[in-house]
Amino acid sequence: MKEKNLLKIALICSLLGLLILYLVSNNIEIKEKNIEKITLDNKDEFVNIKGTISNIVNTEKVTIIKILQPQEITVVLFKNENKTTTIQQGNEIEVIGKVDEYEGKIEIIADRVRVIK
Amino acid sequence: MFLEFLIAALLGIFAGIFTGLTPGIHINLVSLLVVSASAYLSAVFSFASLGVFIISMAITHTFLDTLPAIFLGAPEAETALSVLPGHRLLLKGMGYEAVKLTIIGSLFSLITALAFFPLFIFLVPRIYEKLQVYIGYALILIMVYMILIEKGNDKKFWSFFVFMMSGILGLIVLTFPNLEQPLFPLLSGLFGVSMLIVSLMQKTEIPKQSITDQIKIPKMQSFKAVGAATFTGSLASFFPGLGPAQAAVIGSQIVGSLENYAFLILVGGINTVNMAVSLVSLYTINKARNGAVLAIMELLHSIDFSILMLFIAATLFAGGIATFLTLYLSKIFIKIIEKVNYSKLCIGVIIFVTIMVFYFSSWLGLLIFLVSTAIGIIPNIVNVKRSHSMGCLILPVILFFIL
Repeated sequence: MKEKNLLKIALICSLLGLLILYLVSNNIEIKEKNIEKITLDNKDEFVNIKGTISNIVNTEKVTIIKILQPQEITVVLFKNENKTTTIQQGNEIEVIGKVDEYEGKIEIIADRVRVIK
Repeated sequence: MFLEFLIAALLGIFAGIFTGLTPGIHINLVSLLVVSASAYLSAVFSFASLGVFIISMAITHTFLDTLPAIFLGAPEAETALSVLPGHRLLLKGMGYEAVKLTIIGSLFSLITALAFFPLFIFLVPRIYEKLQVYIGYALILIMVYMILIEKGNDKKFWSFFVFMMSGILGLIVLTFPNLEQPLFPLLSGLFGVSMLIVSLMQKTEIPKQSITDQIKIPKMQSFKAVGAATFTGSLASFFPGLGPAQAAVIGSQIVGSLENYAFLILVGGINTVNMAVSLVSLYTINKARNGAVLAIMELLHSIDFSILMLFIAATLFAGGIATFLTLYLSKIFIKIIEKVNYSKLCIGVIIFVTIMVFYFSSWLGLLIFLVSTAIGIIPNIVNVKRSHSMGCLILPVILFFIL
């Protein structure tokens, strides 16, 4: 096999990868879960949601966040050195967490929280 | 979003160059750092982007880690078996060809494996439980076969001896509590430094290296090597305990005798396929089969089809770029290796690896390193295959599946 041919194939791979990256990045946000679609059937499943913080309550061990998407959901974030991040009311955040039920209401036990803006 | 993913992929490729070229710095270490710092990194990158970073780094690493294995004799688990044939070609002035063969293996096996992704996605959840029962017995059969094909009773005995000695050492090392990076001293001794010591004793000199444009490999051998790399590399991605190193032993046995050239294609391919196909395990059965995918699982928990496609894109992109990088960097390696006195280089590498072993695994690591180096020299003295030393990883896996 000639080196030129090997490099041509490598170049095609890179360009193809770049093209798929472009196409996927334009569609990836659709896959995030809408709050309205989260039901008790999703209990114990991990979901990824984005929304704006409408209310935030800090206690010693947990931070309770209300997220508006426009529907509202409660996100519970246990304070842990690996997961804490500075969040404030009005921040748009991304949450990855497990769907749970508390007093008949759905809430998300956050595993990771990221401030988008 | 596209720009963010692209930057994450490029940074991952950059990190992969660093981990691939530095013996002892494994991608698992960097992946762990990324997970630990994810709360801070997530201010800039989404979790999916951090996954793209890890995948790009891991794929680039699998292309580049053959350089220290072939030129310096400093392998990791995934490249341990490429040291001997790679070094043999280096001593014939064909080190560049050796690298190029592993790259051909990596790139073509990666493309083949990606083409088989739909089949893997269909099959893995259906056969995973059923096949798991037979892996241990299959490995026993392969190892017995490997020992029996050695010519003469003496060689059969020494093959068995090397397999058992390295196997028992592997069992001790892998079950030792609180030992950081146990594989580094184990494999550096068995496959790297032992070979460098033999080279020093034989006063080996590195001839002028030729940079050839074309490699002639019989088509059948190439197909066999790429096919076996795709099959066994994938197998290792689905089952716990099986890694690229064990897959290389299985692969080399199921395709029968392979020439040095084809063997290097096989070893190069397995490493890359294993990393890429482990994404299928994460997607279909939500299991992590290596440190990099475990880190992604920590960040994202599970992946859906769009994230899988994102990672496939990162894999293709990084694989293509890594091909250019590896060929370019191997030319730099050759220039250095030709200028430096080889004996001094060997001594330098031995000292460097010893320091790294002490840094990562302390005194206990040095003891393991000493014993594994001693065992690693035996195959050379008694003239049996060095691959029997893979008992250090195969025996623990056999026991894992059977007990």
